[in-house]
Amino acid sequence: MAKLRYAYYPGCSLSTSAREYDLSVRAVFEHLDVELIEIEQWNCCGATPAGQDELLATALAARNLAWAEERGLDVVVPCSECFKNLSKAARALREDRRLRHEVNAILEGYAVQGRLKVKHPLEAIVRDVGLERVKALVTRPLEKLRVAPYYGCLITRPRNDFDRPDNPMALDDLMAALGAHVVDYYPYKTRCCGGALLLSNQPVALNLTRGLIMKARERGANALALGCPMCDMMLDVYQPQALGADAEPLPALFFTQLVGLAMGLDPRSLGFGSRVVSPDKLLARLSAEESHVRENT
Amino acid sequence: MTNEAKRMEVVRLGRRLNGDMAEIGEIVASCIQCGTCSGSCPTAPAMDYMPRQIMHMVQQGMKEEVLSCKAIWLCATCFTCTVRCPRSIPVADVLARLRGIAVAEAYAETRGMTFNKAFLEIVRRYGRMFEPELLLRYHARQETPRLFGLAPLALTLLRKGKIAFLPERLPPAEGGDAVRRIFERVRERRQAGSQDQGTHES
Repeated sequence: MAKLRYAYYPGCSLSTSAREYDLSVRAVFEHLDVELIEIEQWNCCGATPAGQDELLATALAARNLAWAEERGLDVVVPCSECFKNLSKAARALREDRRLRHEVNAILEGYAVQGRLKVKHPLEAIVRDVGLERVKALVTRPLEKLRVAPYYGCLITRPRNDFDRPDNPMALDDLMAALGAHVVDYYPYKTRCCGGALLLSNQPVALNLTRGLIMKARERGANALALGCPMCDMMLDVYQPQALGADAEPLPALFFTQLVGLAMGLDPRSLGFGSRVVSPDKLLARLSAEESHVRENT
Repeated sequence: MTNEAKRMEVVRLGRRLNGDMAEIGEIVASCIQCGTCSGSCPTAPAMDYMPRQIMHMVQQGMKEEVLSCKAIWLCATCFTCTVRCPRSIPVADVLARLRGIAVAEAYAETRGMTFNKAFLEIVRRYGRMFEPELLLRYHARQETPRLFGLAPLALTLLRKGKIAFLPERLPPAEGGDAVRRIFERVRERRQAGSQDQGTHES
């Protein structure tokens, strides 16, 4: 099989608050022998605020899409807000001729068609690389992990081409392929964390986040897997505020950190040290299991 | 329903909507008031009007009321309403566009509006997000700025290497100018559009 290659759009959060997402995506893709080529001089997709103006949102996304399209590459986008914006823009450019003309006029000298595919790394790993290959590369099965697969909103909504919005399974399947015990997290797996309201309506946002963590606990999870920097901001960085002092913390990790861990990559190269809710105890349990297995063999 | 039929529906309901609002009126004309959006909305309990009511208010041409309500700024853009709507109305996008009109027509500033303005201004200037400035700009416009309250969080983020001290500014020749021009041209087009609207009405 020819080597998989994608354009890579990290988005703004991946160099600051979600840097370990960037680290772990790059490390895992390299280990899977998939090439990611970062879009040169990419610009912000406009996140939620640009959504108030469809033309602006589409034009901001289209400037990034143009780079990938010129090179005949599909694009991998780890931030699910950016993923939603870029895939929505690609679809709009493809289907709406008037909007396409208008956006190309705004961009000067581009002829973006929107024909490329925009993929979340979850899709690239589960559908393009495939779970068989993932399983073959697992050297440290995550057997002690009871993981709640959290998709959040924008990986599956308003629309994607690889999984269903009501009860997606790609992340469940991937976590199972890593040897983890996957708890049934439906319907909370796609329920909103409130991230977009973190500054403007914080109590509402914290309440939604608190509910998600409590439900994951009730279902028996000892970790959450996620794939969005805003969900990460809520479920990791703001978890102490959301839970209050009494509740026991629940490590929330980027799903790519877990993939890397199961494939035996060095935890330091996956940015585990950058987590606010420390996963150290959890990681210690995973490696205790491993040394236990070693002693018995 | 064809677009023309939707347009007639808008006229029949006696809309006092124009421009972008009329377009939104057409999009929501097929709403049957089933309430699936309200029932699906995670932030509905905090809203003054439920999403279903917003759809109805737009149908009834209640522009002022819709654009000054709190609910449009409590939408977390989770798109649950959109994927569940039996009439395929993109409810979350409709709310986003209502927010855009509220900004363009200078309705009273909500915290969500302050956030959106600050966010887009930073993207326009640097081409990329710069969170420390976003926080400063946002809190500077609040009646009781809570910057000191942010200190513990800032320390945590600093310790974990999750804050940048300087914006990752796109060089002007390699994208920075292009992004600024995108903002300018979109604004020009909006202005040209509203002038057309004006001549059309007179």
